[in-house]
Amino acid sequence: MFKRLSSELTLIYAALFGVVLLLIAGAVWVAVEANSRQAVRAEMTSSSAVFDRIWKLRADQLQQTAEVLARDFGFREAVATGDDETMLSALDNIQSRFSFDTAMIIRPDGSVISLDDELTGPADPTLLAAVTANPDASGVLTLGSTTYQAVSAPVRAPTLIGWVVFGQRLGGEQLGELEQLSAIPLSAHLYLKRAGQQWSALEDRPGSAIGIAGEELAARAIETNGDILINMPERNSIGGVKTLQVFAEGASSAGLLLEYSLTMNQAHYRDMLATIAVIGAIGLAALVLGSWFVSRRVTGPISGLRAAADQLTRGEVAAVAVKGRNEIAELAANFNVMSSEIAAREQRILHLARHDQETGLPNLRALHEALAGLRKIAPPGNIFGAIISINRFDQIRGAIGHGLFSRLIAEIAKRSLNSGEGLHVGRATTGTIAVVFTAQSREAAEATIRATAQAVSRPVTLDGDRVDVMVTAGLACDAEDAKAHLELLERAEVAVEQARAQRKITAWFDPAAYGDPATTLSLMSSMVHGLSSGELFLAHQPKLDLRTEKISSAEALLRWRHPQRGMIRPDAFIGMAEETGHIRPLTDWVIDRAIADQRIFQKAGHDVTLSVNVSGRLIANEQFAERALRQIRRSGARLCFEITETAVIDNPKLALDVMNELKQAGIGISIDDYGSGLSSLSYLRAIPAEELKIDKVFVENLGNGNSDAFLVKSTIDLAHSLGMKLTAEGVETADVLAILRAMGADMIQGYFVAKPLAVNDFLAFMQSPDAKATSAI
Amino acid sequence: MLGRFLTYAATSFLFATQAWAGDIVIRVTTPDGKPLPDAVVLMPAKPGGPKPAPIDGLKMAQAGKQFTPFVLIAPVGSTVEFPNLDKFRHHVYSFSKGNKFELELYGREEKRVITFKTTGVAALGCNIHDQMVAFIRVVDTPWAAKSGDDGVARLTAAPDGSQRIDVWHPYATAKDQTVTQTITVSPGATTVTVVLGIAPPS
Ligand SMILES: [Cu+2]
Repeated sequence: MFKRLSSELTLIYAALFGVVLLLIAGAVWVAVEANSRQAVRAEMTSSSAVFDRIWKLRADQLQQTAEVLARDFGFREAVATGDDETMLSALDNIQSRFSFDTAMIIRPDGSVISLDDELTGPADPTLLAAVTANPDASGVLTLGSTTYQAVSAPVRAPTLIGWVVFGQRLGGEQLGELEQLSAIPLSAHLYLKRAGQQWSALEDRPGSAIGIAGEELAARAIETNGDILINMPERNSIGGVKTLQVFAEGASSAGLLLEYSLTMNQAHYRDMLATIAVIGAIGLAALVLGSWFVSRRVTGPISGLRAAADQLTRGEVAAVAVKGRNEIAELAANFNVMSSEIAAREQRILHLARHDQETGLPNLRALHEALAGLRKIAPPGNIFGAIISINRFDQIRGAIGHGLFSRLIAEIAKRSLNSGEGLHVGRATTGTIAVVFTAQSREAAEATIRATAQAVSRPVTLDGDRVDVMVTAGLACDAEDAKAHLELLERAEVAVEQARAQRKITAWFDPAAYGDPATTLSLMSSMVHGLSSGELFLAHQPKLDLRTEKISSAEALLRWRHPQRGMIRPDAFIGMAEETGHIRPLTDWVIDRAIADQRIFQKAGHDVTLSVNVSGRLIANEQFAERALRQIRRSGARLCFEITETAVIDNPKLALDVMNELKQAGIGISIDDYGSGLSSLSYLRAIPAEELKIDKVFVENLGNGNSDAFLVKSTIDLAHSLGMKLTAEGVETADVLAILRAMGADMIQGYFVAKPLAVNDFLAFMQSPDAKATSAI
Repeated sequence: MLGRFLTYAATSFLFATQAWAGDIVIRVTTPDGKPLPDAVVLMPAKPGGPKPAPIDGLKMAQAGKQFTPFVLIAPVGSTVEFPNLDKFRHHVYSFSKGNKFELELYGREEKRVITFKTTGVAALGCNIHDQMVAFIRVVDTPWAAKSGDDGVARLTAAPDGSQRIDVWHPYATAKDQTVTQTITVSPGATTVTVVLGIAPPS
């Protein structure tokens, strides 16, 4: 409802105060109202008593005067003798002496003698009846249009010979006098009711009319404790009614209404209420100001807290000044503690977000941030990224366990960091670390990474055990055309694979070799197309059996002559086919093709065992194996499956089962590229292979007088001891052939014998003297 | 005194008429049957009829702030003495028409005499003592009598035949304080009861 607590508090206090004030005012008003009526009633009672006295005084004066006159001997004589002149002069005398308004003599015969000509003559029957009934009548008497307070006194001489009647006018003037005699401001009204008529006011004073019909007032009259009261809410007044004695009793009634205006009475109390209102207003103002200040004192620190909390919400460092020792100060202190704890926790979270939990090394995210930092200070051409991958990390990790492996990675990262200036080092994947850095040129960058690779390629001692570490590094430059849509480090990672493929320690990312993933799918689809259209074919490289000096087998190698791109190297699409799942149909096709080619050779009279390269991913694929067996059994072909030593075998146990099944079906198993990996002896023994093909790297070096000779010799011995034949690939010279022959190799393969040959060329080669010549060596 | 008056009445009648007649006994009562004293019963004078002879020495005394008697019958032309038996003074007056007089302050044992010359009622008052009221009925007929404490008045030797009688009392409510009744007088005693409403002044 309120944006500010202080406003709310102020309003609440003000409202409470207002309510209290209203209650006080209401109580005062109620008390005033009651008090006012009480007071008015009391005042009216006393005023009424005063009026009684006045009324009686006047009546007594009239009465005494009338009696004095009525007893005057001379007057009586005049009345008795009918001496009108004397009577009138006596009346005149009395009237002027006492200021009576009217005076008359009524004779028993009903005739009236008066100075007032209107009264002279026959008496009003009511008047005569009144004095007859009561010679000492006294009260309100209306004669004609004038109302009097009148008295009568009998004239006896000694018998009754008449009545003297004196009257004082009753009217506005007299009522006014009465009003002035009262202690309280009253207005007096005379009401009359004559026989057969209704109550009506004697209204002869302008502006003093009550305006309520006499009958209506009479109906409102209530008698309480002997007082007759009339409520006149329309005039905000109350009236006290006094019944007046009438001259002619029974014939008429008269009442005096003393009206008391509550407005005037309440005016005093209004002053009081006004005073209360003024005090209240001042109090309210003081309260509003006071509560405002107080609430400001309270809410000021709260506002500070709120601002600080907002800051905290925005992730800024927030602290509140702690003043005093009250609850809010405590709250502020707590807030500060909380704020700093949040900051610390945030730091921890940030650290966790940027660091590898296992090793505590910066993670890829941190490296990307470092990279972003570098991009601000250096052009893309000077920013480089490298991935340093531990060779055969799976085996190492399996050997030493995860815990030690983490320490190994940490150690390698530490060495990397120390190997050069300005390197940002972090863990990229389980077995790789990443380095981002700036360098003046590609050459400088490569030198840096070479140094790093060298630095880390030293044995690491963990808990007393030495672990030999070999790494492969991939390099990428930030400026390189990112056609591959790969990030810098992703390109570096690809470069690692490329380095491995090239058997190099370091390699730059080769976008051409990587290929454009955008064209990958089209490449695959055109490959599938090429399988049926004849673009893909097998080239067979003859293998020379050194025992028989004959060509009795060949390795079937896949070739793709693309109509636009020309010859496509197997590296460019076989890996891709493995990744995309096309390796299965491709290998199926190769097997079918090899069977078909073998039949061609057979028909030409050449009995040649063909070796087919099978991906490690496929060897454990039962559907593949079933199909291959079915095809081979049906055709009766003699095939050998070459499996690379380092091939990733998805399910080694299943793979061994499959290989055993293949072997029983008469399909030979050959371990390809032996020496490029670190296969354990038990692994070698488990595989039911009949042929071990030593990696050509070792063979090529034999001719250079290198010391790999021992390795080759021991490998040959190893093969023989495991019951396998040893084939040496990459034989290009006669010297090497001679060495190998001397070492006891079983077969050779290489350019020295023949390059891979298409079917027709292979047939031609088998017919040519070369084949025989080779065997002659 | 009553006896004397009656004797006089009878005597005068004796001289005035030739024919003898009977007595009339009039019993005057209030409406509730109580005997009413001080009522004057008279047979109005007839033209050419006998007249009563004036009497001297009638007395209207003042004793104990009262007139005594309350009602006095006086034949026209009679003189009435007003002896004051009280130790203080009185101021006796009458404003009655024809019999107006005033006896100004006079003391004990003083005796004033007034002659009443006009037939009618003279209401007597004292200017000093309001309560003193008395009436003198001045008559011009020989047949007039006042009821006694038993309410009985007697007219003796009244002429025979149908006769009118007036019964008057100062406080009677009837017109002129008089009730008139016609009776048949026969030789011997004729008894009549007359009822008079009375309203003494408050
Ligand atoms: Cu007297």
